[in-house]
Amino acid sequence: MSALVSPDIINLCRKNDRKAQRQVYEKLFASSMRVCKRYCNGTEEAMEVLNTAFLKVFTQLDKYGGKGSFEGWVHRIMVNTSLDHLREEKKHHSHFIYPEKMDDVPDEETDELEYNDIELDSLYRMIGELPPVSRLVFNLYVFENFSHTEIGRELGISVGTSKWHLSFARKFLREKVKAVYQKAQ
Amino acid sequence: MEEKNNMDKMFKDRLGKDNPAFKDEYWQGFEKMLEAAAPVSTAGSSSGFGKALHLMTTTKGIISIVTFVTLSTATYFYSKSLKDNQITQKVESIQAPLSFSTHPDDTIVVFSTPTGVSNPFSLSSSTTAVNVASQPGSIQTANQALSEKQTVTPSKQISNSIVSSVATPQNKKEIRSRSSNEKALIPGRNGVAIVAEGSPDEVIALKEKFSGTRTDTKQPVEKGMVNDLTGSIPGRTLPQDSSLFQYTDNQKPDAQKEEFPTGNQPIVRKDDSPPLIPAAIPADLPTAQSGAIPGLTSGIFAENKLFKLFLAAGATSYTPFGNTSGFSGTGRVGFQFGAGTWYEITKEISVLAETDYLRTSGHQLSASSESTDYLFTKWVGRVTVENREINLLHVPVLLRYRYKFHMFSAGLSLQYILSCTGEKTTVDSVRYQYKYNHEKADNYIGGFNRLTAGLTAEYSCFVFRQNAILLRYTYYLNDMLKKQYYEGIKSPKPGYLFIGLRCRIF
Repeated sequence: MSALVSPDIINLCRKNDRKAQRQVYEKLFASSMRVCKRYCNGTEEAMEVLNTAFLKVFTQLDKYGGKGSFEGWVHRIMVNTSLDHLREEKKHHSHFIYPEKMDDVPDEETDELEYNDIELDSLYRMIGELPPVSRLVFNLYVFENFSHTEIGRELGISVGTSKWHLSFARKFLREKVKAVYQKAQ
Repeated sequence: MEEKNNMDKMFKDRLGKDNPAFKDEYWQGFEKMLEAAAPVSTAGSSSGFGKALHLMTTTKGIISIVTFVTLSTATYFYSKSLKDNQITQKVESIQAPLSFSTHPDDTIVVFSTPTGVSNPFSLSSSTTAVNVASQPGSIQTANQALSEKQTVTPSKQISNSIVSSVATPQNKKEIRSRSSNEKALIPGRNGVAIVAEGSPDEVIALKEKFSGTRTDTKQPVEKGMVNDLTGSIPGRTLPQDSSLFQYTDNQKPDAQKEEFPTGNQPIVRKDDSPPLIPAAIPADLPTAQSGAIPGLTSGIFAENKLFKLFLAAGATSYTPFGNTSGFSGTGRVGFQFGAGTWYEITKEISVLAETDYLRTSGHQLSASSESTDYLFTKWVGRVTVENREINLLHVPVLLRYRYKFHMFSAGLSLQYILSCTGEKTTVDSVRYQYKYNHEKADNYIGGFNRLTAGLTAEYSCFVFRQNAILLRYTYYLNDMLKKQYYEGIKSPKPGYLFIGLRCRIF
């Protein structure tokens, strides 16, 4: 995959060249917005996180030493900024009621679902309705390809806790998808 | 990576194909954010006092305050220095070699100069040379215009630090005295009364001489003592062609130095010109006291001036004040040293300005976000910011009140961070290492405020002469961390406790 952003543009961005910054912002907008929308609850919130992350990108551009792809570096900042944002969601989700016991979480279902008709915004909304930690584990496991061990190490939780959050997220989403599908039928 | 769940696959596939459209308005919104991020936010209290206080803590406000204080102080000190220099110039006029001219009445005025005045009569700091010659009823003193004559009585004692002389008709006398620790009124010959100054031995000698009881007629010049008339020290005499006086004890012929002048003996000049009188002595010569005459030594930092220079050094500790929750810094002790000056407005009140270099190592600052072990998990999304090492300039400007040996000071301080290293631990334990420098400190995420202002209180106590131990605490009004980058992180305002020694050097 060819680089979306050339080194020359990056150098111009270091000099606070607005045109170059806009070019970077525009080229990386789609991929970055995808990340933010997955971690956030709603497009507006995702835009806020995305802009905060881009602000970090442009103000900390000197830290990018040219090793590795620039897009990957930006992606990492997007994820980290989203994680920071998730921390702040604690107060907004403190009312969320989890099952009292982990055993209460049902086993995973493997039946196929007809989901192609479900709109993307609905899918984002479903993820956004997940509790923060479960949303985080689901995102890291499914989209960032982290293992439970890696998630546990990164987040400071046990592997079992990570698995529980993943199972909880799957069930939560499945029920949401079913509800949407049945409503569409 | 196992992918055994169709829910995972569904979300990954569907969301992976999402391609959010870019709109210009997105960029415009972000551009405003970029521009707003450059200056420090100035949002604050709506009250006038709150706004003023807030403005004082901004960079522009700090610079304005420092500029105003500096200019005001400099103006005040400059005007004071000008006044002192005017006195200095007047007094220094007597430092130049005196010119002599003949007086129509053939009067020789001899005067005793105070200690430390560098005129031809006083090359030794401990000697007072007195040379008396008289003219009927006339005397000229150094604290009067020389053209003005003053009639005195034998009992009249003139300014003890300037001149002591009494005149009688047709007599010319010469008095030598080498110290000024005793005075005596000596009845001399022909109704002469002489006020003699000097050590007890010298006074006795003078009494013997002028009362006619003296037996020896030769007054040896001791080594290192000032010779009469010329004020020169043996071995350090004036050049042979000096236009002042012809001889010293080492130079003059034996016939001239075998007798102490006893009257009717003119002062001999090299060119045998008429007796001499000094001219052009300022009329408002300050009265000397036990020490130097104020203003005699040039330079605004002279002893008699009110400026004092000092060095200060000691140990410092990063000691935040107030809300320190989340603070877990360790190893905050460092050192600082600097120099400064104080200016005594009055004996009790002075203004002190100092510039210190401060360096602390270890973790001076460790600020954390609130614990994120939320919900029922033990997942800790902790964000910690630590600065490991900091180098800064610390500039306090204090108003000091002195009570005996104790001094209490308070004022403003500026802190300018030269460089610091920091470390941020993010929620996913990814550590970013920061190394700040002059150019980048303001532009880095997690940067520290380079310039901050604070309040300083200090207690100091003289322990030896003008060397003092001091205890100082500075509380800064600004957050050390840039809040726009550390939203949600509790960061105590910086504070430094300094224990050190201040030594006056000049």
